[in-house]
Amino acid sequence: MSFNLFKAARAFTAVASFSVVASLGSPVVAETAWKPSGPVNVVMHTKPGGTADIFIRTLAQSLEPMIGQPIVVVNAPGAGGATQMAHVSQAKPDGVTIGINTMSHFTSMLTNLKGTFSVDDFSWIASTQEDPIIYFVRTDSEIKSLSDLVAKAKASSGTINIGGFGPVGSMQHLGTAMLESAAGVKFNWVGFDSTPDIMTALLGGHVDVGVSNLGPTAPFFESKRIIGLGVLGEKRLNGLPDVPTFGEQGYKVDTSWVQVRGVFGPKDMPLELQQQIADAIHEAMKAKTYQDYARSTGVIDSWMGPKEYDAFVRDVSKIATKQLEAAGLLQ
Amino acid sequence: MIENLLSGFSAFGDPLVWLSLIFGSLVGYLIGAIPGLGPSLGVALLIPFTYGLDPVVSIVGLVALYAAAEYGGAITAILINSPGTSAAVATAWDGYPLSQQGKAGEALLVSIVTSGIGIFISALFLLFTAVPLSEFALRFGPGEYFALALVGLSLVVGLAEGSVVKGAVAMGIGLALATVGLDTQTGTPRFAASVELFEGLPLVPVLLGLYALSEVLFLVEEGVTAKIKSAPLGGWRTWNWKGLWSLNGVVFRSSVLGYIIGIIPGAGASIASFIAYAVAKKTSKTPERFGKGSIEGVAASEAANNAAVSGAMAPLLALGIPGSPTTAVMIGALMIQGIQPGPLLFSRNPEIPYTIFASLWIGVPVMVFIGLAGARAWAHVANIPGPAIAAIVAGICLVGAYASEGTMFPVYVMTAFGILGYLLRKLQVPLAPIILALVLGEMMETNFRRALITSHGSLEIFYTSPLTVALLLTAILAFALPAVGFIRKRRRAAMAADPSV
Amino acid sequence: MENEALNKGEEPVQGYVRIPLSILEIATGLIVLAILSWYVVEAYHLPKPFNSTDVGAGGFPLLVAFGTGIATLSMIGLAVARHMGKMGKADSRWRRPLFVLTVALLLVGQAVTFETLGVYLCTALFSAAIMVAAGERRILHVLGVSIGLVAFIYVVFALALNVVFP
Repeated sequence: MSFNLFKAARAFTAVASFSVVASLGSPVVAETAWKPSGPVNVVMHTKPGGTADIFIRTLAQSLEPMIGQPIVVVNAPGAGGATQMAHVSQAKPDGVTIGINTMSHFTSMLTNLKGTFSVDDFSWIASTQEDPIIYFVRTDSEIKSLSDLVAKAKASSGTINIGGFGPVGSMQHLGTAMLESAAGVKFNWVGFDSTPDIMTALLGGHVDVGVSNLGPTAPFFESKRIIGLGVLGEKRLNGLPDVPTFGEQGYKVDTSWVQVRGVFGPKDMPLELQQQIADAIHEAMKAKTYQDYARSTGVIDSWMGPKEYDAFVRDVSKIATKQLEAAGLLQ
Repeated sequence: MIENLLSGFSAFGDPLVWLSLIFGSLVGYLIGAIPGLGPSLGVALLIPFTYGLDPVVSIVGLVALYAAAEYGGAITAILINSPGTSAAVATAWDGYPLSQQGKAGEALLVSIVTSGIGIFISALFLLFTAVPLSEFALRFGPGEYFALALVGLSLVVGLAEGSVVKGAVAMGIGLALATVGLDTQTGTPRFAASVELFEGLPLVPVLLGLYALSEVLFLVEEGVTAKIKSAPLGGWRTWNWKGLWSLNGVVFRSSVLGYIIGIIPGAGASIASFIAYAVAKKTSKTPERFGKGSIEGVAASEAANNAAVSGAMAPLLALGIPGSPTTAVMIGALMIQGIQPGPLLFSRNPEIPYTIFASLWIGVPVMVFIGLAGARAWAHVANIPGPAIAAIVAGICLVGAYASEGTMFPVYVMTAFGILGYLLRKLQVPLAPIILALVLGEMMETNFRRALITSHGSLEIFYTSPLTVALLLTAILAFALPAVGFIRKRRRAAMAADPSV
Repeated sequence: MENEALNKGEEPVQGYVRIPLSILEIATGLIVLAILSWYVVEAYHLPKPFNSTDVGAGGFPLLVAFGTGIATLSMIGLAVARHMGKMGKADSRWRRPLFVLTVALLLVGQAVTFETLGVYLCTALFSAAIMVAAGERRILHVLGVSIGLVAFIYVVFALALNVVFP
């Protein structure tokens, strides 16, 4: 399903707005080595409008003129990502069909999609975004820092409610499990289906601590309705310079455990082609339209090429396996 | 505020804004009318065209599309019993019977006018209550959501036609179907034989199957029997103005209900229309006509599901929290524009919320105009002979189900539920409880378990919050009162039949 | 279900089959109970919850199964009572059963062949077949509707919405 072009709407935007031309038609179009033989299908695991979906649609604006082919966004949601993965794995490894992946692709290949797909079934081409997770509380909370949180968790023996995205075994839950083992405490994980639900529950006082990426929470930090406890990442976030990392506060966790958005394709794709695709995508990320979007949503650009990304994927899968085993979620 | 509101209206001095409004309304109207597509998909489709457009221009188009798409579902619900979204199901309950009685034109007229009024009234409330009510909605925790879902489910009793026992069986089937898929708390697959079922049963194909495809089989039963000719919709002088005016109470109540339920994040237009429909039936002078072609039923459902559009906007504008899947997509659109919806929106970009108020109001006449123009043409659809309608519905549902996800899976789901729906209707098992349970089941289970997790297993979470208690009492009363009435009626009937008792 | 009725030796009178509603209710009740038992077994074997305060993945389904089971049993009970007793018997009328069965098979057929035939051929063929099975005998009507439908799908879905069909 490629719903990206209403032809009528195209005509409308073209006729109606000069600003389109001004902002999209970047005067200098960099040439790239990647010359796909036809329109590039980018398969998504979400419905139109999700975070990852908006990412590729924005990137397409600058990528299309560079590769001289249109980008067709194919939304294949459902089956916990398996619909998309099946779509990608069955495609020819010629670069005309690629997909966008997130951290949940790796965790689900270890849990509910185990036996259906594995890391070796795909080529991991490039990383594009990193999005560390943040722990935060309501401004009027007694908890002001990670040590407060740990102290309180020790005192109340596991009754601190942490609300985050996904069930037990999800990316954010495993991050929390890492904090648990680093600090030697237990939290009470409350899974939500969407980040807005987490915000509602936290602001309403139904959970004690919330977990999220920066994007959806930024306005709440700005309006001082929530304060940050810590960032699970190597460095502090540019958009949130006052919130220290876990490491700074003395809790040693694996800082490569960040949300990642990357590009992948069917297996046995020539390394040379993978490198070309990675270069083209990274070049397109430098365009102003993309940079404006990325800065406003608070994500960090990530520049791993095929070799590094493949290594990263395997590394992250190992960490995830260890965490899932520790949590007793792997048989 | 007046100043800001004026600046919101002044945006309409720009012809481009008008163009965007009209374009959004038209696209929304069509997308809403096609079974399988709905407002959230429509907004997502339009987003790529808003890149580079002025934020005010794009937001006007998106709001117009949202409102019109929420209405568009009523057209197919009335004409061919195919509610394209769950919010239009209650419209089909009375709209389709009206159509069968040759009153398709009247039903369409009422649906578009009440939709417009629903938006108009709720937008007025939005202007004055967006911030305080959104803050209030934050009080809805897992316990409250569970209780709210139970209130929704209790409506089954008031709505179910015929046998209470069969209604209960249908509700159970619906709840069981709602548990299919990955469990939200543990992530384990449940009752999912294949990976396609991991995300649960897709709601829209189930709706299309149960209502539209089963109707195809009923049309086959009819064969080429002569239909009741649909009365053509005449000029505005010939409309039943008095009849429309008499709906004012229903429309007002339903709009307020729709708006308030729309504000609660996650509740949304379908629950709003179900509850408004049930309330309208309770307060009606002619409750027996509900389900058999009551104009009041159409009005209640349509006013409520469109008022929920404004409701869903309230937490979006006041807090940056989307009140519905469609507003969640809109947040993405706003962020691409460099506008951060959230608590600071009113002070930082006041032009955005006030333009939204303005476009809701100015959008109403545009939408109603398009709707009325369309209603004249659509009313003729009701005159197409049965076999042709059957073939057309089967074809469009097939294509719509495929387009809803771009895979074959929803097509298979729809076909299976089509045949199941026919058999259930033959057995006089009501379909409404299945749909209600399917819509509410997940909300009920997830929040029940979430409530127990946050309270560490203590049941007191269900009786310490006054809001939860009030909602639970409402649900219990709604379940119990009709039962008491039923037993009394039985006893009276038995006494009349057998004087010795 | 039609076959069940025909097997009982009842000839379709004036194009419809009558089956006592109570018999159908008992049959359906038994089918629902059979599915419920599978459901219960599956729910029972779901993994125990990770969090001790959670009722677990199987908790709610078991509750649902319990309630539905009781409702189904009472439906069967009422149906048996009605069948035995003198309480008002109702019939279920299945009109034009063979045609309905044909169209039901056609609906399955269009779903199964959608990918192989492609959207236009599939909708054109099956819409014509459904019309004929529904009783339409005017050739021009049949052709007109199926061509019109294909044109509509092409314009709305392929042209305006750019849906990629098989």
